[in-house]
Amino acid sequence: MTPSRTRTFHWTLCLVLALLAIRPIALVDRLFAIALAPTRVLAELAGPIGWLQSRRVLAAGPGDDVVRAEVARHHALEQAVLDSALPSPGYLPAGARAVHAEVIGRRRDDLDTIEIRVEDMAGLRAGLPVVSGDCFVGLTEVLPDPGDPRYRHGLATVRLITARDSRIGALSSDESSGAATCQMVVGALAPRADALHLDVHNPADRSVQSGEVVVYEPEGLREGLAYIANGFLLGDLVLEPVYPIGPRGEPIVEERFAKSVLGVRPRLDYATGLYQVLVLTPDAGAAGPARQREDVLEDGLWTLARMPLRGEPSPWREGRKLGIGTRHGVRAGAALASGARLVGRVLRSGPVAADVALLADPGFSVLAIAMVETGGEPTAHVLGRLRGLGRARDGTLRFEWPATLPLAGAGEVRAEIWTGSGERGVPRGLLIGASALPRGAGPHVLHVSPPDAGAEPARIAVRLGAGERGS
Amino acid sequence: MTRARWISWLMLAVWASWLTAAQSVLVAKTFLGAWVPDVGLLFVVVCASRFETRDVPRAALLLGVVRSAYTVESPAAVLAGFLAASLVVHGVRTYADVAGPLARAALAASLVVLFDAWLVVAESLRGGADAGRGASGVGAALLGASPSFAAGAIATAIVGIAFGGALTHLPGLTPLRRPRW
Repeated sequence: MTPSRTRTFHWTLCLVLALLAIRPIALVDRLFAIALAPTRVLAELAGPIGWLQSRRVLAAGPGDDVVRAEVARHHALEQAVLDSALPSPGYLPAGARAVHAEVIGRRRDDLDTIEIRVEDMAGLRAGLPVVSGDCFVGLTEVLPDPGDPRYRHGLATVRLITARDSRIGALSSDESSGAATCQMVVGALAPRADALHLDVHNPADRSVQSGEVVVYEPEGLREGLAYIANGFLLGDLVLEPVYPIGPRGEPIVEERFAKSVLGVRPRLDYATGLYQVLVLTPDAGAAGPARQREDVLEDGLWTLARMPLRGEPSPWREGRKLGIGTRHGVRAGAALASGARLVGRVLRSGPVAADVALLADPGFSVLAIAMVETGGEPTAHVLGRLRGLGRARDGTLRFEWPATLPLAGAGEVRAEIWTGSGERGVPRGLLIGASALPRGAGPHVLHVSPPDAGAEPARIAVRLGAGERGS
Repeated sequence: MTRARWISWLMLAVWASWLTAAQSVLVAKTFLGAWVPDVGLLFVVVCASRFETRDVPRAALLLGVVRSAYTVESPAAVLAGFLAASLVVHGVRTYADVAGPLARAALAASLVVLFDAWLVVAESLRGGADAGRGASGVGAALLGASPSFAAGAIATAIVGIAFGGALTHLPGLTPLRRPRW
């Protein structure tokens, strides 16, 4: 090749690589991972540097009593999280049975369908209402046959009320008097880009613009089983001006463009805050406290992870290379933990190595729940998805909290932050740290103090087979 | 390719590997952090200024592969950045002497800023493509990481002036080096 052609070839190669970097293709990423697998040898060559470092890290690890205390708190939190699915007294109709289930993931191609792991599949069928606490969530979809392996693992899917084709009868009531004000149909998302509100269809009285909205499927129209969830909350009826979104993604706040949209502001974070749910069946039986599941720390789905070198050449990243990969069962998204602490998550996994983002890595993302200290027993508050903004100068971890479900009141409240459910590979109840949670509407930036001042623990375990048995 | 050149390529990978490992440890575990020089990129600049023309892109890709063994950045982004840096230095080399310490330091400092910015932009644009990461705005991401760009560039320039020339004289690299007339 002539020098000119060679130069053109190299610049073209450069351009192709740049495009693959910003618009990744899964297959090409996998090929990169396979092609670069032998480079693990290079990291092993740097072993002497790693040996010096690991002695130093080991010295900074937490003591056994600290780990035991955290595991004990993890168990207490786990029960509180499981019980958070239970509705208030009086919500569950007589003769109905509530089956506990945990949200384990969401379909990548359909965010309006969640995947759940049910405690007891007996008697479950398609079209059963699913609730979380006092709120309505959606309806079960087609369930697997008893011969299907997914049946044995209790895996099912739920079509959320936010789905384009979801509809349910509803009734609004005056919040002060409790009197019914209007029947309507609720389902799918209201046409607004600035907030996630449920859409209202065919209201019987168009003058009604506020009130609490609950499920109301008249018993005479028993086409399905959704009537079992009658009385469960959908949210608050609101009529708000909605402005069109400009080319830069900002709403154009001008009265002439404003359009009033009637919607239901949900009291659940359907996007990222669904962790524990109940499936309601018409079979008799009462809803008891959720059965304690197998301890996620002792369920055999963890393996000790080796890091050839605890470092990262880019100063704004906090990432690590893991000495095991897909051949050992490590999948992308899997959690890394030390005792009951969350340490990081696997970004990408190759055959014999994996890339890991630690908690302080900018962009790190996890579903979280807070145990809020209000004087008495700590209470659980669903935070939804936290997104990492990196480490602050004082060593705390900065996270963006959208506060879709804000804490009522003003000021701040102390809380311990733990992982929630609903994400493959990240089990519930791993400690992230402590923080002061701002009350009121978000978004907020949280400064989270990691346990042990964020020292990297010596023994780190990685969750295996992310998603194969749920979380 | 002669046996001596094969060994030379291997030695280049080994030296780059050790230097990148040392850089990783210093960045992660010392208070210096952002002030650690980007020796991997400095190596690219030095190789592009002293290696035979045909070997420059190969050396850049090899150094990119070595860096990918230590970083969680997307391998495609690292390879694209290193290859582009080598082509820029090689382009400049046809008009000016880039083997001198000052020119080398200036080029290395500029390329560190551009390379770091490229990695941040690429990571932002990848968005939530990687598991466990959320999408973030390019501007916010650049603003957050930019203080470390300047520190890294200054440190790389200083090391480039002091030790840049020594990098191509590391044991085993002679067959790849272009003789000076």
